Amino acid sequence: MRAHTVSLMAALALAACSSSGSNDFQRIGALAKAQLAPAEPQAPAPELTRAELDQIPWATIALSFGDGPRSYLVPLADNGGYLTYLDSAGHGLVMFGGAVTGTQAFGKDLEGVLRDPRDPIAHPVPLADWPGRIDRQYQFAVRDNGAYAVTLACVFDRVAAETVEIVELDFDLVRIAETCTNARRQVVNTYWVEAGTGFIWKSVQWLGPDLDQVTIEIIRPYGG
Amino acid sequence: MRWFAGAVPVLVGVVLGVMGMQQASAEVPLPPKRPSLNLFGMTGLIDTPTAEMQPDAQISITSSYFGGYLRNTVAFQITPWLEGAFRYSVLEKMLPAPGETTLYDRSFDLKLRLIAESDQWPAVVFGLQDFLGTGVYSGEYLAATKTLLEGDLKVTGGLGWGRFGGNLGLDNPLCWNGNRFCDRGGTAGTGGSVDAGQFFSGRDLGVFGGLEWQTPIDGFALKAEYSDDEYRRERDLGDFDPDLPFNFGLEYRPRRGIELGAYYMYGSAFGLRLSLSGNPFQPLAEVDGEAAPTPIVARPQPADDGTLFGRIVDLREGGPVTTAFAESRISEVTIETDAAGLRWARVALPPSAGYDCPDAQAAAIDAQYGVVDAVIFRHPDGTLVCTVALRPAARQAMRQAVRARVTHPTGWHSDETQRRAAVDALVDALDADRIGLLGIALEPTRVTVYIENAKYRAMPRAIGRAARALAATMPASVELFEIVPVEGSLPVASVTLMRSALEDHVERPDAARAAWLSARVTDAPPAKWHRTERTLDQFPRATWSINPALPVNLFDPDSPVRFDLSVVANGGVEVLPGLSLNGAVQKRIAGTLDENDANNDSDLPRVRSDIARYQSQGDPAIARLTGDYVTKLDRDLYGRLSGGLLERMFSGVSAELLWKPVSQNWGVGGEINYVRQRDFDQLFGLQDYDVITGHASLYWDTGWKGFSTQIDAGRYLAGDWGGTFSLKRRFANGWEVGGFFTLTEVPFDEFGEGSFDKGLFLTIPFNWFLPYESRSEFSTVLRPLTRDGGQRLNVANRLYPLVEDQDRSGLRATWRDFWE
Repeated sequence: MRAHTVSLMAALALAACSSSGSNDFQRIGALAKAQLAPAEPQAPAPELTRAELDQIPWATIALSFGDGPRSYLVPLADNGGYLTYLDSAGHGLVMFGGAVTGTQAFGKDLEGVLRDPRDPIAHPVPLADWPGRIDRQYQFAVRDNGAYAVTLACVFDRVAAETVEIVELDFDLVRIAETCTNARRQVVNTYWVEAGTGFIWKSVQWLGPDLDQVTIEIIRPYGG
Repeated sequence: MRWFAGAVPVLVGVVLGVMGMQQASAEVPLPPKRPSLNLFGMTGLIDTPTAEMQPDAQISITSSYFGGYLRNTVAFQITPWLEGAFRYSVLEKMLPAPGETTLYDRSFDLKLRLIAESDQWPAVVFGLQDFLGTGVYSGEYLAATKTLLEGDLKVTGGLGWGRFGGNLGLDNPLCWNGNRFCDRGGTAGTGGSVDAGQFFSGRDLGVFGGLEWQTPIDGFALKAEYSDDEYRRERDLGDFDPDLPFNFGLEYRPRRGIELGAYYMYGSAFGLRLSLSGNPFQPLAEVDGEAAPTPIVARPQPADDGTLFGRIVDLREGGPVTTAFAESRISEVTIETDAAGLRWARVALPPSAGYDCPDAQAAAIDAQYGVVDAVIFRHPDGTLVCTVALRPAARQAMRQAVRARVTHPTGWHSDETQRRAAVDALVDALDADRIGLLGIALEPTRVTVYIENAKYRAMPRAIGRAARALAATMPASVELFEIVPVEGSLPVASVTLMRSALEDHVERPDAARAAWLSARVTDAPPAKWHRTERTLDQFPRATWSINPALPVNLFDPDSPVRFDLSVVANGGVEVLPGLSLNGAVQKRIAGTLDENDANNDSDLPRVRSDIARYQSQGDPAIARLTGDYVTKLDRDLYGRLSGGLLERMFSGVSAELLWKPVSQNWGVGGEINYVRQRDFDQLFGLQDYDVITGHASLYWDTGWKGFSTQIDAGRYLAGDWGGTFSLKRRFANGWEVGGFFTLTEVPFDEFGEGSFDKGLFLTIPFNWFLPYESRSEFSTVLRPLTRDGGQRLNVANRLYPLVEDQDRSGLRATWRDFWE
């Protein structure tokens, strides 16, 4: 019995090894271990100051979910106005103008957004020229499944003029509430807009039915 | 051979009649409602069926017990209107004493929806229970179900023959004057064949029906039914004695995919049921947790010198028309349609015009002339003032026209250091995604890469990652990317992409579709590896792995489930691309397979039926030790040679040819083998039996709901001639569910129990339940019985499985992952 037990343990210890490095059984083991004995949560990184952020020579945005800490991202690619931002954890965000048009590695990612050509979130337009209503189609792909889209009709409401602080700088902006609806859902996006140019300095935007809304703050605008 | 051949065209006609069109999805698809199962593992009440169907592709495993009867069922929703099941039942005291009285029974069910439920009409189905087996549970039925109270209450009623009839004593309306419908006959001897002559026969017509109520308590449901099943045989031979024709049940769903049930059966016994259910369309791991791909950084856009379009202005489509055309003072407008179907308006400005771009007048022209993609304004003095792009297609066309005039420097190509640096950077970029660069042919304006995908289940995802890596590392002059995935050392398809198209499509909406439309998929030519950079430097290369294994033996009456815990060591050396030595050794750690001492009553050469002796004596066992050569003989012709210990029971030589163009959804192949049977200890010894086997094969991907078929005709291991028909449903994520049967010249009674070889196969990709990318999968073949007729050689590296996912339709099925 003892010899049997030793050989069993040795065989199982060797099992699931390969010349290509870790294989599925090892990764399953690692996942199980992470579930059973999760790592201690790391202390949140300290918030950066404006002076520290000014040292970044590129356009920068700050990203946060709910009351969580900010992540700072710089655009790594500009494809016809579609800016791709990546953070150090391998998460990506794609924006066109002030509109989020895609997410990467967030989970059930937003694949693309078919925008109304008059969408003032994508093309800066003075507030006075904003349309009353636009349509937007959010495109998603679920793992192993077909794609689907959520089409929403969005109307804009001018809520209030506000002074907004973004990392030690104050901006006099107008808060716009965008209510988007279809037969099954209603989402509210919020934008803080510079009235004269239509530039969006801060926004809280919907990323999809399975993700939290994201808060985006412009630290240094992209110059194109 | 008893076949209900006449039913086949009827069945096809009904099938076509009930097919419905799939709706496009415009919101988050709601999870489909999943009706409950019965004790037979089919959609139903308790011991009777209903007219409901499971969601498309739903797979369920059910185990139920009452009164000494254990039923284990695997059910699959083959299509939205066709449900099928395989059942293994252990029925105590179902055989007359003396001797073994427990019946170990295998059976198959099918249920076909005739009418889908509507507001006015109930759903109606026709079903065959235990139509392929010994017939213990055999019966045919019609059932109807209507949902009420917004789905909380379901009412079912039905008529049945065979097992469904008896209690009420209703006469079978098809039986008159002693015709053939009056006599149903007994259970089949060897079983395993369809006795269509029994359908709708017997003196009795049965009635059944019941209610299912979803209680207000979440997850709980109550059921009550009337069943006309007399359980006559159970009553005569066993201890089960039904007092009432009524059953009652309480069911609970603690979470998605799990059903529990408790029942009071026929007034005399309690019953239990456990069902586990899953669906290929609903992965357990809904996200894969992989990092974002490398962004594509577009090459710097050359500034237009103004000679092509003047100043380029983007005007938003649908923007406000601030100038009426009549007020624009424009009189000369010419509309031209180019080869791509874009409409260009050419405008001669009036003599008083300046050189500012009158973009507002472009919107007026669009409104006046209807759908103009771009407007080109020219001053009377001939100066090209500006071009206003009104639609994205025009903007892209203008970008491409400007780009086409630019020549990127190609001097880097003659500099070995720069070329080496580009290739090394590409290797590093591909490495990050576990994509191997098997070979590369780099030219000033195009590159061909042969990639080996070790990570991504969907090949287009690997192709997309390779495209991103190329865009990030190749010099600007390289415009054409030809990506050739190599699978099992075979280059199957060549995917050609334009770099500028990638730059234009990335991150846009509908990007996957745009990328597919711009890609060119063709047959990859046979690779000349000696002319490809990097390839031969990587050979010889060795691989090895050690993995646990769980071989299982099912359905033996002495012990229905036997299994071993084993370890399998695999190793291989690929000497040159396609030329390799491969081996696998298996060692049992613990288990019960060696306890299998079943007697073998086969009258045929015992090519498979001695499996018990192989399992008990092969420890350790050389599962495989072969020299293999696979190659591409022509653009669409593949070849394989294998020799050595080919599989556990046979050694020899095997040769195969496959013709399968990537643009075609069908292919043909042929295989011929000379083999000799191995000793039971599965080392190097051989037995005296040898045989030449071979088959011609036809493969067809129907393109409908993932169904594909394979027909093989030829000579089998026992020397018998015949054919195998396989039908499987393949899902884009790698799931496969299917079945097969083989008919040969061997008479049913000579074949023995089961009458002919048949089985089910199942493949589940690890991707489905793991939160990361993997190409691993779990595959199994479920055979009710292992006999000797209709048995093929098991060859490890047959050609069609290597190429079937790499053709045009296979790539298209998963192309949505291209940008992931």
